[in-house]
Amino acid sequence: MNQGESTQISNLERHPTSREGITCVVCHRVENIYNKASGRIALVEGDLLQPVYGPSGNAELSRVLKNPEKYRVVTEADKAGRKIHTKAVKFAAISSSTFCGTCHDVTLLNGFRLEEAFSEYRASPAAGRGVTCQDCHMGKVQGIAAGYDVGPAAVVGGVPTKSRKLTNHIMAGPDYSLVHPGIFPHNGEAQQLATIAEWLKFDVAAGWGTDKFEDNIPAGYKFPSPWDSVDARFDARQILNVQFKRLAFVRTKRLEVLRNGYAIGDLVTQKSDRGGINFKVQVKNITDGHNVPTGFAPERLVWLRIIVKDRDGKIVFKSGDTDPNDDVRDNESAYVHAGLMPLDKQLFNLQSRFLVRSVRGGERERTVVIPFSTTALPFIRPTTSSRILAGEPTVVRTHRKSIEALGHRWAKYRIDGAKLTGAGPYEASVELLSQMFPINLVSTIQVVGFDYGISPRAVGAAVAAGREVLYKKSVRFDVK
Amino acid sequence: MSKVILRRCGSLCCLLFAVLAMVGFMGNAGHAAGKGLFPLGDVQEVPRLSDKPVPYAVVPDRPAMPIELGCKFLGNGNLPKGIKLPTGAVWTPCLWVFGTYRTAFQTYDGVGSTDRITEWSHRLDIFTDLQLTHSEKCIVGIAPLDENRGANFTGYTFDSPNKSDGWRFESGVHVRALFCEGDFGSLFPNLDLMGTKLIDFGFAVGRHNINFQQGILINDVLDSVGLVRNNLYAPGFSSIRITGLWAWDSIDRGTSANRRRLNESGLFGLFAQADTIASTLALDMITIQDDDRDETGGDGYWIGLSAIQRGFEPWRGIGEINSTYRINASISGGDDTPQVTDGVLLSAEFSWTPHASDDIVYVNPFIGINRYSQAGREPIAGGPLAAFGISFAGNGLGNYGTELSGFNTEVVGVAVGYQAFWDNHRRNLVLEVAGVKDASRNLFDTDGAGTDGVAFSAQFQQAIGQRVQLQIDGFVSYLEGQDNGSGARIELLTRF
Repeated sequence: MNQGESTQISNLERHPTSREGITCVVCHRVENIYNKASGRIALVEGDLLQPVYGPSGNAELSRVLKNPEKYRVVTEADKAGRKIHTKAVKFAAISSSTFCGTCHDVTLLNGFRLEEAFSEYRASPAAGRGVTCQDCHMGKVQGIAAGYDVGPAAVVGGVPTKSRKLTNHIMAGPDYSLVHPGIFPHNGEAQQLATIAEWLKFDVAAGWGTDKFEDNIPAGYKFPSPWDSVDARFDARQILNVQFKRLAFVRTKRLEVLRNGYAIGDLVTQKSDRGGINFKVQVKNITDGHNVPTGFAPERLVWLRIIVKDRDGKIVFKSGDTDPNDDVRDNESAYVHAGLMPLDKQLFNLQSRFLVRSVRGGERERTVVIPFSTTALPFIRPTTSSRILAGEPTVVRTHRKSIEALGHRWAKYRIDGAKLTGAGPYEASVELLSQMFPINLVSTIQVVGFDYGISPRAVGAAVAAGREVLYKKSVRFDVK
Repeated sequence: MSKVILRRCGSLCCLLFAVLAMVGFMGNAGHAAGKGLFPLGDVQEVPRLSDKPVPYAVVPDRPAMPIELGCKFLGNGNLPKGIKLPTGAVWTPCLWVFGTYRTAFQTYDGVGSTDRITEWSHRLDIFTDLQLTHSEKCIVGIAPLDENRGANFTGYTFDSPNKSDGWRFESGVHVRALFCEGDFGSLFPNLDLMGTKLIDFGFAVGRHNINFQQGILINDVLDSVGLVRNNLYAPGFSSIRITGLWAWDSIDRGTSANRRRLNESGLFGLFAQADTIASTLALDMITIQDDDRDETGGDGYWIGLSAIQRGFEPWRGIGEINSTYRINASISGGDDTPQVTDGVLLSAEFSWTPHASDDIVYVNPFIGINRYSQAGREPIAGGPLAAFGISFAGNGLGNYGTELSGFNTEVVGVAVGYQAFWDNHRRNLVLEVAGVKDASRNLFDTDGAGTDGVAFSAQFQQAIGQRVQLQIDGFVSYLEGQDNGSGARIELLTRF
């Protein structure tokens, strides 16, 4: 964006800095607190040698810079070597929750409150105790205020700096990568080995670069350049193995933060006889910092998958299963919408809902909040009346369904007696799952296309592949 | 002819038959998905995601505003660093000018008119937004071509009941919005350096539209100050919002026939909304304290309750029903006045989407007990029934009124409609039948002196390019004790 690039060009055509995502400078080249700025903040421009902004000030950096030979750094633009920022300006506000709120609270210019993580936090018990966002999300354990490690903030030229409080910059969340592992995580060796376009041609799933594949290459198999070199394929596979380890590590942190937010509580059987089975499952928010899900809550899929089997293993009831697109069977499922599959009426799903006003008849759920019922020409402009007072625009809003701090919800299930196959026991498998967004979002946005030559089905498959089972429990029903 | 038909069928029977026919007709859209006439709009055929790569589409450039100073509205490029205030707030001023121009050729003969009026009317709304931060801004809005009353829009009258044909000019600086809004936490961040205190109260001060309960409770431009607290919560509630409001000026009371403006400090409102996992609940309360009953209507109290949810599926063919239930009540501080009356308006809004389409079917029944009156309404806005059907809602431009009265709430009625979409939602058509039965007498009576009525309405919209919308409306109505009504209009709306 800062390069003036169009928002609709491929990453292959972008400047490398445009592909970097959230990097050091997004936080450490900010000198003002912009409060609830919805991520629209001004960075202080500058090259590697310009000052950065941090919580501690310049003392340690100044000591390092006085020993450039020991730490093997250079501070002049015209010298070869490892360049380093020449000053660390103390910016105490970087340790405040408000700093996180500059991005993690989004209100659109038409008054739509899209993400409210910081607003939720401010009203939370955690804020009341003075626990900051950083205390839970940059500490030893993702998602709880477990204190901070102590150690060198950096290893410069192989020499560690002085020990101090360390803030964990993993900051795990519910999202995960969908792109080719040769492209992300960012890897300097990968970038030196091949371009993005070349990496996209490397068939990871086929096993290129593994002994098993290379020892059994089918006759006439054609490789695109530069992967027609077996050495290149082996080098690529070594890099990918590093990438897989990194992705697996981040996955453990993602599970850590999600499992420190959610829990399955009690499983209560209310009725269990030939007339039917009624039971309920308690889903809890075990954090006191904000709702769960939070942030982009209308696109966070957290739901219960229930499968009940009879004594012979035959499924007599299920809820939270998916359609052929891997969507849960809610109103936004393309198959339910087409009338090809029944609505999952007992689905327990914490995803908040975008609602769009109809010309008359109230509101209805939509995957994307475009009010095409009230006008054929949806047009984004600033609000002309105070939407702060109403908390939402006039024609679109969010129905929040997340669980408040330390709260819980009961998911209730009823299996009709007609569905039972006789005497029990029946066993219910109860799983709490998390997925970063529903597949129906892919269906809705596919009209504008996807980068990297990915098909909608491949995007959906990657999203579904990253789905996590946070907890699994079972309960038995004895039906006589 | 309308009186003969009504007498033969009985107006109540006619209304019931029309409603049941529409519901049955539209309801079968679910079973007949993709076959024959229904769904009326475009059908989405293939639900499975494609295996073929979808390249980036060519997306039109963003429709820029005529004036964008300081930063572009949703543009790209570097953001300005901003100016730091003594309070700690950082302001990055941007000035944007935008608006809407509407022009319509229309002919109308219906509720409240003694004869047909045919005219060409214009409306221009220009807004200037001084955006200081993402939460603080000031808006000025003017309407230089109208005085916000049906008879006071710039245009040309071809034919009118009072024979005032010819040009009329209503130019002037008519201020429709002049307010600032913001967040105390963003304005005074030095009061809470760590961001842990509950100081992020929202506020708005100045002139702007206040609308609650979908305009049934209040839909008026007020000079006011308001305070809001979002994201409160309680066990079982995901979010609670509470808003307090005090208005001191421009409180418009009554109907078109007896409108009065209260220009004194007198309106106090408390509005609350809460989300549970199943529903969104709202409780809205207003009181107006007015010493001059004879002139401006006197004291009044209003309460609105609503519950909005989805999830009821009466049978699989119809899909899940969206439902909204509302109770709105008005209580006069003494005896009823023309502007403030005792009454209750019970309403429900049901809608669903036929399978394999984006079309909408809706059924909105309502019951008025005594005569409910709104707390405030902008002169050009519709009455409380406007929320239930297009037949009860005006167009906000010129003398084209409503098919059925939106103010007469001492009725039992229903609006049933169908909206179809084509061409990626750039074209839509609404067909509606609506009717009311006079509730001030036996519902089965039709003595010619009551307020029974039925209307058939159509509304067509077509987007043209990035900035223009064509709208065509038409209706016929059968009104007890009056001549039949009819009207048609064609409008071009341009956004800039």
